[in-house]
Parts: sequence; C-alpha cells; structure tokens
Amino acid sequence: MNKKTIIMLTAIICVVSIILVSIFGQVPNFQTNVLVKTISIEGYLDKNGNIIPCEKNNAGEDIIWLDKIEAGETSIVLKWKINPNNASNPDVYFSTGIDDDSIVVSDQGIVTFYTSTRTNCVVTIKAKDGSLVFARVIIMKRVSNNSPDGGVEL
Amino acid sequence: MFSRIKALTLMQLGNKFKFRRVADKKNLVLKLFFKTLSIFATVAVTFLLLYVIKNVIFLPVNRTTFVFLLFISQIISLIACSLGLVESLYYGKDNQILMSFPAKHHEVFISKLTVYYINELLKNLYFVVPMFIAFGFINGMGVFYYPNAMVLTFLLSFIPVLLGSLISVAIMGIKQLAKRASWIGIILTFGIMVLLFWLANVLIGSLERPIRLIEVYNAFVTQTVLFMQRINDFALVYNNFVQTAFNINLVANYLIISGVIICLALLVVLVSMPIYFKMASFGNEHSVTKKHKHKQSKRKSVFLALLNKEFTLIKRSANQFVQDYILVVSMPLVLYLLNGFYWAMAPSVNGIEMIVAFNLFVSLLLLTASNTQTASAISAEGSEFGLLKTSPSDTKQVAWAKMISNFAVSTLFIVASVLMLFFAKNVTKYYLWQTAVVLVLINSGHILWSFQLDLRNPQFAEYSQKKAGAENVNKSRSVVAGMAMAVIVALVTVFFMMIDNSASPWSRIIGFSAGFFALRLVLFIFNLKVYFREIEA
Repeated sequence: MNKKTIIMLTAIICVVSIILVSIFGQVPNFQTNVLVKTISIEGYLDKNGNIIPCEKNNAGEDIIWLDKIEAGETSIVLKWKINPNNASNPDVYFSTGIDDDSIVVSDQGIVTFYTSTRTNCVVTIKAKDGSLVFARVIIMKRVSNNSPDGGVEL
Repeated sequence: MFSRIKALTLMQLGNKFKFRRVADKKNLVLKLFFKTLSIFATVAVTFLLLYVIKNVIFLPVNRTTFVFLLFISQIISLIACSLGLVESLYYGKDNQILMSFPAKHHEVFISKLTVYYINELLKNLYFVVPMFIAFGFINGMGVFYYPNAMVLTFLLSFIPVLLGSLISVAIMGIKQLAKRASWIGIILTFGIMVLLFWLANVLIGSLERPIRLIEVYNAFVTQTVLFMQRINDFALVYNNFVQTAFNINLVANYLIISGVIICLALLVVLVSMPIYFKMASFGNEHSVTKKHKHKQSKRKSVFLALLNKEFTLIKRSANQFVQDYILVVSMPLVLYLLNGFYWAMAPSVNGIEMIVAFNLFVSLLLLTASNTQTASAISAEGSEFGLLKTSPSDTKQVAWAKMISNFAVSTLFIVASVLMLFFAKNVTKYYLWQTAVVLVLINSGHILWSFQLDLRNPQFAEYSQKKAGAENVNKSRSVVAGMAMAVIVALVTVFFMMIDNSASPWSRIIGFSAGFFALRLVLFIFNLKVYFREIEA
C-alpha cells in the first residue's frame, strides 16, 4: 500500500460519493405529471457538438445522409427534441428493427454501424412515458450525388 | 560498439531481474506460468469491462473508443517514462559504475534506453496487449488481427521511451535551475495550484443547478462520445496504430509508424545523447558548487536546535518537501472540487450528513497518507543515527522535533482547506470548524502512531543501501493504519449523525477523536521511553 494506491482510491471514493449523495441524499424532484406530446429528430451531432440537421425526402420523411460507413468506426449521435420540454419523463427508447447487431442504437441515441455492408436503416424513437408518441428517421450512405428520393424500402 | 552495448544491457537486465538468483528451473517455469496466467486474467477483466461499457453503459466500443483509450494510456505511459528516465539516466545508482567501464558514454546511454524499452514492453504485456485482444474479441476481428497486434505492441513501446528521453532533458534543465534556486520549485507548484483552482472554479461555475445525475445520464453518454471524437483529433500517430490493427491502409500506416519512430530516434541521438554525460554528472553529489558562508551560531536549547535542523532540511530540499506533502498540498483543491459538486445538488438533511462523513473520509485519506515520512523519520537517518544518539544531551527530543514539522504543515493545510471552503462562493458552510477539529486530532494521533512504528522497527540497513527511494515496511503500515482510521471516523460520523440521531453528535465525534489522540499520545510516550535507548544504528 503506497501513495499511488491512495490517490486512485481517493479518486474512486470521490466519484462514488457524488453518485451516492445524488441518489440517496437529494431533495426529491416534485413535479406534476406532464406527458410528452411530440418528438422530432433534429439531426445528429458532429464532434464539436454542432447539429447537422436532417433533410426531407420527397415523401416528407426525415433523412440523414452519411458520406461513409466504416465497420466498427461509424458512430453518430442523434439529436432529438421533446415537446413540452418540462415533460415529467423525458426518457425515450430507440429501435431499428434490425436484430442481427449489425447496426446498434443505444438509449442515448448513439447509432453504431458494426458492418459496412448494410448502408441504411430506419431508426424509430418512442417516448417512455406511455404517451405512444414516436418519430422516425432514415439513415443512409450517400452514393455519388444521389439526392433524397421518394422514400426508402428496407 | 554493439558488443559493449550488449554487455552493458545484459548487466543491467541481470541486476534488474536478478537472473543469477534463478537457480531452480522448476521455480522459473512456475513463475512464467503464473505471469502468463495473470496476462490472460487481465484479458478476461478487460473484455468484461468493455462488455459492460458496451451493453450496460451504452457507449460504443469501436475504433474511436480504442484510439481514445490507447491515447490516454500512452500519455500516462509517457509521463511515467519521462520521470522514470530522469531517475534511471541521470540519478541511477549504477551510473558511477557504468561510467567507469571501458565504454563510451553514448554506449551507456543507449544501453540504458534499451533496458528501459524492455521494461516498457513488459509493462505493455499487462496492459496494451490485453486491450488489443479484448477489442479484437468484442469487434469480432479475424485471425490476422492478433499477430498484427503483437507487432504493433513492439513498435508502440518505442514511442514513450524515445519521447521520454527527450522530455527528460527538459526536466533535468528545470531541475538544474531549481537546484540553484529552490524557490523556483515552490513558485512553480504554487502557480500550478492556482491554475488548477481556476479550472475547478470554471468547472463548478458551469454546472447546472441542481444536478440530478440520473436525469442527465443520456446527456452524459452522448457528450462522452463527442468528447472522445474531439480528443482523437490530437492522437496523431496513435490513430495510425489503431487503423493498422484494424487492417486499414496497412502498408501506408506501417510506413508512417516506422517513420515516426526513426525520426524520434534521430532526435534522441541529436539532442539527448550529446549532453548525456554532462547531465548525468550533475546528479552526482560532487557537482555541488555552493559556497557556505561562515557565521557565528547562537546557543540554542537541544529541542530548538533539533527543530531548527528539521526546518533547515525542508528549506534545503524544497522540491522533496513538495513531493512528500503533495497529497496534503492537493487537499484544499480536492475538497473544493468535491464540495462544489456536492452543493451543486439539492442535498436533503441526510445528504448533508453524508457530505460531512465523505469530507472527513477523503480528507483523512489524504492527510494520513502524507505521514509516511514520519513513519520513516528514524530510518531515513540511516547509519548516521548512531552519531546523533551519542550526543551528550537528551536526544529523545529528536522524536518531537521530527513530528512537529509534519504536524505544523498538516495543520496549516487543514486550516487552509477550511478557510477556502468558508470563503468559497459555490459551497454552503456546514460544520466546517468541527470538521477541522476532528481532522487535527485524528491526524495528530496518526502522526504519533506512524513515528511509533518506525521507533519500534527502524530500517537502517535498507536506507543505508538504497537511500530515500527504499520501500519501508513502516510506510506501508502507516498508510494502512491511516486508511483504517479514515474508514472508522467516517462510520462513527454516520452512526452519530444518521443512526443514533443524538442531539449533539459533534461533541461525541470530537470526543471520540480526542480519545484516539490521547490514547496514541500515552502509548507513544511509553514506547519512546522504552524503545528509544534500544535503537542501534
């Protein structure tokens, strides 16, 4: 046991203590139950945190174009908006309808491509508060100068 | 030339790994088996961690994450290598022997770097290799990935060693400057502390209040991914390492990596190697050129004379002092940062009591871990302690003189921490002075305990052979005792404040601390009377 061990231990205890105080030592957050009314996907974040907005195709669907998809490398962070913004439970969940783990989307809206062969997917976002509100976005690899067309069949 | 470098390298390796002592082949095989087993265990633990990161924390475990983790680990490695190379290249105990051999100075330099490279490679076997393998498993990489990763590990180990040898020259330059004027080290430390306080203040000021960690979890995860992507822009050659591992532009990336290593090696040859001998000679005690002015000393009492000696030692080696007390010096910053987070939440009554207990716990961990030099105060005198004992006076007083300097510094920083929390804008003031009283009492008791450990079992022989860097068993015992006290005080605080719900918990907590201090004081006085005269250097 030496000073280095104590430094590491202190760092761990500090983080754990903040989490413990946050969970067991805070005044409860009293709010009336406000349900989510609408969800919209605004686009995705670049690495500087700027929003790259969705485009609309001819069918009026939201679409995100990616210049390249590399297996295990391409990860995008979706940005969405909930109305009203003081909803009691702002949590959402995502689904892709793809069950072979080639494209995974987390509850935080991080879409990761684990294959470069599948070049498109539809991500659905739903509210967790039981309000049945949802939104969809299509993520596609841009091929040459293709512009948004009349919809995607997956 | 190469045969001389080889001989020098093998001699240092033999000394480092004690090859000659391995006479028992069965024992050697068993040792190798357990080493290999521990590498596989590390692979399993790393895989489990990455699995949790991917499936429980929901962070993607892909190339971006790999570059980020590799980059951070290599920064830590670079810092460790730079500091280690300063010790090995310029202050190594073997320098005097190696320099006297019929070999050129640059051959000694290259042999030392080779030994350090092998050391770094062995360290990477326990960290970088498991990381490569675990990432390979998680991402379902092909068979080619694993031998490729082994080659990359060999190349990866060159970078921190070569860069470290360049940085060590700069560190030695600063050390030379600091040796001429010790106040530079203090000003530098003070400047870094001010900068860190400013950064902590900016961080705490930017927090949205009240923080509700569970509600901001999603934002935390997404911001982490974006943060990793931004940091990876600075990862330079480590991006090429990961691309090569993932079989992307293999030839081009191998060429870039080799080019970087060759350029670094050339820089080392041009910058570090020519000034190595001069720098290495600087670490020698014969290089001291300071002239002492003679002056008439005033007559002092024995205790004041011994105390004066302790403070003179602190002044003379200010950098050593900062190193010894780095945990105590950093305590105000740690407490400020921690309390900034605590009070950015909306703590309930229970929360405030938890905050008090955690403040005591963390403070005591840092304070008691700094009492290690008290736990080696007698041992550090080495064989010279015998001379001290033969003085025609009550030399037992040296014990009190040695402890008072530690007590003064610790108390100063406890008061500084409390004052800082008292005047801080973002922190609510709860039980600060009571906390300070408990800290002073427990820490003083622990100082007495630490000294008692060394008093009963001084390690003169180890210190005479290896000097200050020696691992002293009393230091480890002191740290363990301090940790135990920190846990006990935190539990006592929780008991009196949250479980017992007494009307005046602080009088009981302070009473407990005073009881501990009184017990340690009485035990120390008894031990000092019995054991001091029995110490033989």
